[in-house]
Amino acid sequence: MSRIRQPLAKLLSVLILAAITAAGQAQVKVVNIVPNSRSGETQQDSEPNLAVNPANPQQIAGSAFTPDPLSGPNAPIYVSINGGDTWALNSILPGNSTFSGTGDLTLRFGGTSNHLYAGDLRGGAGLRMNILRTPNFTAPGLMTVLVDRNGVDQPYIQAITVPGLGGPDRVYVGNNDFNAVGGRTATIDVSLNGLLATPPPPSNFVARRIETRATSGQDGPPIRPIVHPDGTVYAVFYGWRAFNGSMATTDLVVVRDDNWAAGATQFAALVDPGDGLAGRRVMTNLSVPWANFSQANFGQERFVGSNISIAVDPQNSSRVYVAWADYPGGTPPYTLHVRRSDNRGVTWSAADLITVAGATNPALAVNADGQVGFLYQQVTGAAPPRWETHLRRSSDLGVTWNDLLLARPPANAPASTFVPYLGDYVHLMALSKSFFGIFSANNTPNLANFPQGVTYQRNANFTTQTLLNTNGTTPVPISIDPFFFSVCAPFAPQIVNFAQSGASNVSFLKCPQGQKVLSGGCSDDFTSTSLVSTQPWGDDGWTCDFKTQPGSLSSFALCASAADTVCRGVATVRNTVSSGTTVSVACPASKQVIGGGCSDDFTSTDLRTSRPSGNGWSCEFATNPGSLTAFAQCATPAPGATIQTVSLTQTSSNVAFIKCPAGKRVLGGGCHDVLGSTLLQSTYPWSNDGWICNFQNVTGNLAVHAICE
Amino acid sequence: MRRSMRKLVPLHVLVGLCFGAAEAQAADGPAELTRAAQFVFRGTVQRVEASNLEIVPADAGTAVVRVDEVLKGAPSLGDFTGREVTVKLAKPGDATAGEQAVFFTKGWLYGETLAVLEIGRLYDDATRVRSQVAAAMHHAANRELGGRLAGAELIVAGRVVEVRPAAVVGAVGEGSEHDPQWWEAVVQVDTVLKGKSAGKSVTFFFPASQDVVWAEAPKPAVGSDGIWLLYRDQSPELGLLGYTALKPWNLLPRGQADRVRQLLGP
Repeated sequence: MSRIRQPLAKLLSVLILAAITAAGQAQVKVVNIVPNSRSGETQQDSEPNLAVNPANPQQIAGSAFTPDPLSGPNAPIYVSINGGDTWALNSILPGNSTFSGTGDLTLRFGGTSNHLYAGDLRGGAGLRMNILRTPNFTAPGLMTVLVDRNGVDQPYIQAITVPGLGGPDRVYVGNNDFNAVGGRTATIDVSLNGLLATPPPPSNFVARRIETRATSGQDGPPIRPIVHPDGTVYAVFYGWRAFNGSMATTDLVVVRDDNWAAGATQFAALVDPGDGLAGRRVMTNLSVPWANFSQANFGQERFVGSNISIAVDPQNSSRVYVAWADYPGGTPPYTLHVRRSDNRGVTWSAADLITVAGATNPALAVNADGQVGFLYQQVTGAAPPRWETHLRRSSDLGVTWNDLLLARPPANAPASTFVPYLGDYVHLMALSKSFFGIFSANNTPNLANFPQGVTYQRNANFTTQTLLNTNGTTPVPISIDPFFFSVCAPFAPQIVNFAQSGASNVSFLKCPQGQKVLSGGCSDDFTSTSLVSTQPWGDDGWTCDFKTQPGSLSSFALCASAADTVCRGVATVRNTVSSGTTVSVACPASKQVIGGGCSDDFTSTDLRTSRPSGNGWSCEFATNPGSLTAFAQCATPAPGATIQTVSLTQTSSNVAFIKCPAGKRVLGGGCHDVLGSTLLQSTYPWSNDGWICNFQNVTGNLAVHAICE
Repeated sequence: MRRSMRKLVPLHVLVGLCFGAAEAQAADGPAELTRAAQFVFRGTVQRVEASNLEIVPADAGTAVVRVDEVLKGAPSLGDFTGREVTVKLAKPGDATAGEQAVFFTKGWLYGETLAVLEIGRLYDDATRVRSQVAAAMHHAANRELGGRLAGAELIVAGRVVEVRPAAVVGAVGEGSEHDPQWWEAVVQVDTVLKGKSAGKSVTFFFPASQDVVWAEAPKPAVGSDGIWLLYRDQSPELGLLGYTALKPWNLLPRGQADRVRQLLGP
């Protein structure tokens, strides 16, 4: 930053040009994940789950009650390798029901291991639980069966890699195990090293019973674990105390373990002050309805008490949220509640942080900023009633909540072919600042049903609101499909730099591990040479090429987490010309430019201008030695944020710099030799909220641009 | 030279010869390939070292092949005639643009189009292979049904005259959302095809639940008619003492009676 040599007074001579880019692009990604080759399918693809690979968020696995398309012996999962934009089915789960593929199924990647774990009820095999693992979720071949046990219900999996180089994968599978003695069925199967789990089953998994109290014969079906990187593991379950066939009287119990459930006793860290037993009763005497058939007055869904969720703040393992569903006071409607603990589950908020009536399928997640997300599905209205899928988010610990309505299709069609109609659960997860989730819904191709927009892989005519078969012409009846979504946050780039002081006239650097590059810049630190190229280096670095090496050449990269860049679809587009001294490239209409660069591919000319231009990037060189390339870094906008380019023209100095509007961070920037009469020496970020340009000469018309958010 | 050899010999037979010609012939003949394959089609190689699915990287082991005729598939797959699919070759590099063959494959990825895993390839006359595949499928279907018939303790043709909740206590999963909700169906028997019926009626358990785990099971109602394949211990962990019908194929249409008799034998 020492490069700013111009006294502020000189800026009085500048003309400030500001341009605000319209944020017309979709800010929430919603994708119907049924692949195009399955355009003719009419399955009830309900009860979805989702796993985004923290080590490579482009890799996403999804699931639903979807059978193998060839009616083979194995059931499929949905797979994506491009951040959820397109999907395929890969049948890698042993067992296949031609009706539903599998029974209950959940998926999770290890933290950094790139292995996918699954817990499922094997297709066509009733209550036979498998816990599975694969090192490559897009490859053919079955997942390895690590656990194989009968008499188990609703496996819900979590996995994490212990932080540190080569840390083991911890795997936790909540399940309702009817093999448990005395009807204390709430169970978590634990592996302290999932990568080393080796058949025969149960490999190195151990079933840990977490119910310490008498039950009515069993606990409720959902047992949901959540794990924090510091080794804190929570789980929540309904402890059934009475059951009359149509109503369960239940406690809502949270257990905790402070050391990965690796000690001599497990999940005993939270003791209830009322009875001194392990497991804090957050609520007692809840009334949870039981009606295991399609409910005409509840959007064809059933009531089987499977609707609870738990999430822990990734920055603070003491802060944990729970959600549950019940009949308040024993009377309808089915109502969702969310509460919070700030002291590791010892005490809980006395009242609901949010209450939603007539809703089901709560799913909680907390992002890296402490923002809590709450996904649920709610039946609303009449003629026809609709299933609304909402994502509510709160950045103030649940005091206030914004609302993203993701879908609102009719709830009375198609007719249920089995229960659950939409599923006993949906899923929401957070990576870095971004939320990723999945829900199932009526798939009528009607944009009015998807207020945030939607993309279909399968053939559909949104004008006639008709699904079409693979031939593109034959109508297909509507059904229930899984929908992936992602909701992103504004970037807060980490700026890294590297000063090349060796003999080389090239300076380049990579983003920190786990981060991708948004944009970059270059500085001739001694202001005595000129730039040849400033350009992205792969998707996680930046490189600068200068004419000579005067002693110190710096490269800068503005970086963000891989999850956040995937969420916002950060991509580089380029254009190369073999003649002329200017070259430009535009971002696709669905994205906005956030940075860019220019390359003299033969490293034999000089760069005059590297700047944002329209919704793209423009470069001007002194000559064209045969190949010149422009790069634009492009991204989708984030909800509630605006990408704004501010510009300033310097008339009396060879240095131009500009700050972003207050409260905004710089994403990228550029420099413009408007008269085409000098050379660019430096273009780089000025702290985290501005941009600086240094040219060889004063021309009277030099511009700096900062792209801010 | 290599091409002409393959026209005469099914793929992999030469490899199999190293281990025993008779076994290799059995394993790689049209019948066995058909049995092992999920998707059999006559196709024309369009591009080698190519893929038409984003998720499948193109390399020497992949080729894009046009499906000219589907010989074995599944109704749920839809019709891929005329479409291009990506084939993961059994042997990398073993394809030439323009060549026509019958591809025996297993399903892999279902995305923009299909990616399949080749397990064999034949260059024989298309009509002949078509006939062989059809015969193999017919044989496999009979073998599958034969296995199901063999597993049934009692096979009767008849009409359901009563259904009622069953007094089953303590069954695994009872009270869970996957509770089968056992009911009993009483069938008035008019023909016994296998086993011995104690009387003119027989009673069996069926899961009345609409839950996903049990939804595909037959849901008899009064008047339901057909051939009932009744099992004992169809799912031993259920511990049900009596006949059960848990799978769609536990009920066959009466039109299958002659086929059932034929497979049951004298």
